[in-house]
Amino acid sequence: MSSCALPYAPSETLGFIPERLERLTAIMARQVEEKKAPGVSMLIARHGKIAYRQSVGALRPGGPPMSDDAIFRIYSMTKPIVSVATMMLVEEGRLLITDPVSKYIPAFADTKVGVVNGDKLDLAPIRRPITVQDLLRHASGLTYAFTGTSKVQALVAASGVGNQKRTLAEHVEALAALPLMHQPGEVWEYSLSTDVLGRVVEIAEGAKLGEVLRARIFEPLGMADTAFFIPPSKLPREAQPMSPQVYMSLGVDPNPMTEPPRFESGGGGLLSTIGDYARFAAMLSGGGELDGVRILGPRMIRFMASDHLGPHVDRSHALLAPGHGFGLGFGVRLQYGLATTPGSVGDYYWGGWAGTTFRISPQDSLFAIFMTQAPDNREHFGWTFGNLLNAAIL
Amino acid sequence: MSSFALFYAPSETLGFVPRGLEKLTDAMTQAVAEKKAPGVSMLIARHGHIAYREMVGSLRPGGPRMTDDAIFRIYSMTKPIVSVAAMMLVEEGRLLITDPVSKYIPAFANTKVGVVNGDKLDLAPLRRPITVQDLMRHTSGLTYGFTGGSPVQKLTKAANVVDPNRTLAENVEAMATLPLMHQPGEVWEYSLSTDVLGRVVEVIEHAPLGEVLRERLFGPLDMVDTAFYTPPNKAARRADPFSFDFMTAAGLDTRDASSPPKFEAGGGGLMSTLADYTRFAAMLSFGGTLEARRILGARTLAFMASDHLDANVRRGHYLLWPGHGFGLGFAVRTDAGKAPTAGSVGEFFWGGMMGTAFWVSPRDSLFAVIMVQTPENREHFRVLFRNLVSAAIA
Repeated sequence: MSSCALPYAPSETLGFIPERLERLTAIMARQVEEKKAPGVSMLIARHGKIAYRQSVGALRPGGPPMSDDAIFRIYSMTKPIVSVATMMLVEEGRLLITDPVSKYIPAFADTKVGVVNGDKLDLAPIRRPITVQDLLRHASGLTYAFTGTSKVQALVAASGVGNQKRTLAEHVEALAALPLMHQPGEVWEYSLSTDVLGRVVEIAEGAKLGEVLRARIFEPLGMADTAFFIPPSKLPREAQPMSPQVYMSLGVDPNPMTEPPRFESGGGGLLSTIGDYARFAAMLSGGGELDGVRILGPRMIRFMASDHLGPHVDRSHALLAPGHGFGLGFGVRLQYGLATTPGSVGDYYWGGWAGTTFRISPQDSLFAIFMTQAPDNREHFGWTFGNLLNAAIL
Repeated sequence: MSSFALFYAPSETLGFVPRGLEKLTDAMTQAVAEKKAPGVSMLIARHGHIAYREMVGSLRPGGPRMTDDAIFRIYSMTKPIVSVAAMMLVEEGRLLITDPVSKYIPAFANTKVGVVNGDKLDLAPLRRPITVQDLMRHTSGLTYGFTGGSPVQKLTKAANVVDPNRTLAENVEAMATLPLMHQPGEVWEYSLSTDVLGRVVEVIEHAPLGEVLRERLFGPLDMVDTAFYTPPNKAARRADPFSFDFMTAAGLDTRDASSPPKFEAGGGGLMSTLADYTRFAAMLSFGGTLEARRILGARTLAFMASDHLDANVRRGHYLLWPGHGFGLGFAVRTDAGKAPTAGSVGEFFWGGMMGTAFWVSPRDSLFAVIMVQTPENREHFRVLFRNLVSAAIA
């Protein structure tokens, strides 16, 4: 297990109200008693020090207490990691965010846009190529099968994109043959873009995505428990939801990958621990560096954590929080109000389908991570954590 | 009688021009001489000290001089108090602003939207549920019976959903059966929303609203004269207008409230004093604390005092000043210009139908309260007071 690496400091020296952090623990204990999840694990750091770290409840129903080294499926919290790997290539001059995706995956040169015409789906040519920037900011025109029931989304669902029968390369090739849901650059649509981005990284590097992430990010940052699978020796540390049914009813295999999977999903395939993700978040919060290891330059982090959606981009998607834009791999807060929880302008964040979430606040020199496995209650937990975290800031 | 909580300091040490404040007193004396109100009581505080406190005129027509401890019907200045109570529940993890109102008041699950169709009023289903955030920012689609003559407003008036002979629970149940004037989230419409919010607070707390406010706010903040009624032993301290006709016409005459009312109106039922509301405003101005008692976290308060109206929300309502948005219980100044008075961006405030008003300016570290009972001239006093306070800032 990797250490968390950051030193602790009493929360009151970091600008927190200690009794209000205790309230956070008590309230999460109550959520666990109400069976909203078997357990949760939380970490809050500020000014480079850990102010709060608590695990509440059990690792799994009837299991041992939630541990500091529990391994969670982090799903879409994979995306910021793949986005950082991409920007490392940009910093090395090997990739431009303005590059057309077809430069790396030629099949995307011929991709069409689906236009609903009564019962039919007409195919229109793309008005401009999909760029790497579009992939990073979810403006490629791609979509997900699980976020809606439009004709294009039904086609994506039927194609089997995401199953374990094909490799990332094969899936992305199949995806390029499907119609886009929107013209590139017109709509923020949460999507398989980051899977395609992972494939771009593979091509630029000439190596498998898991291998690239390990060499570039997990090893340098000491993220020893982050991978596309959980080896059998670590299975006792696996955090689980209230019942396998929670996963199965949502179409997800309750059994985790125990060996390197065929399909390494840059959009959502990683497992990780709160300690590991804290190291990744500390790197972001520290302007791209942790413990003398530089991953990205501070200007590049700031660029990623800025809104990249133009004024004409349709932002009405349910997963783009009110008051937020989207940068290169993160949601970015644009205003103090309107949002669902308190926070500061410039906060950037994302979360995973099973209930993990993190946020980084440059203005407050703060980052926070929340981990649970409760897909049916992910918003409840995310918002409650956001409310109570902010309530505890002096 | 409660104290004002703050010390005095010479106004010139707090960044005021003393002569400017004298002009304020002169202007109010003149307004009283012109019979615009029987009397006025005012307070201005800055940097944690009282810079100005003056009373002008008499307590009621033909009555004794305006007193320090006069009790005023504060009407809609009740709303910020109920909103703060609701946000305390948010900070305790017992309420999310994203919660549908129907989670607490099931009748709102079936509410319809009135759509004018020639002479008829068609009923359309809700496009999305009303949320607690909608109640706080007046985008629920609810309206008032007295703010206009649209078909839904006529129905609202005819239904008498502010019936003093019914409880809050009963009145809110009746509100849920009325059609909304707008789809939730589309229009800023000043409304019964805060009465509904008060009921949400009651449901969560399992206690009458007056009791919740007393325990959470009036007790801890030492607001000893703030309640939904004025007991007989305090009747002599009550400030009265020249006439109650305006309030009677609006169906909101509370002249005789001398015992706990059946209907505790979170939208406008409270009576209070300059000292009491000063203590509330000081708590807001000081980031959620007063005299070492914390009511809310500073971040939660800043969140409340930020604009929560999306760019698509229609803001044409006559009660939403130009250059302003609306937060969670307060109007919020968004522009240095456009508004009817001078002021600073970020100011948050509200006023009551009989003429009381307050504002808090984080940027100027200033807050001010005016108490007067004259519904017909409320806007005159409000704008006059703000203009002259702004003019007196050095």
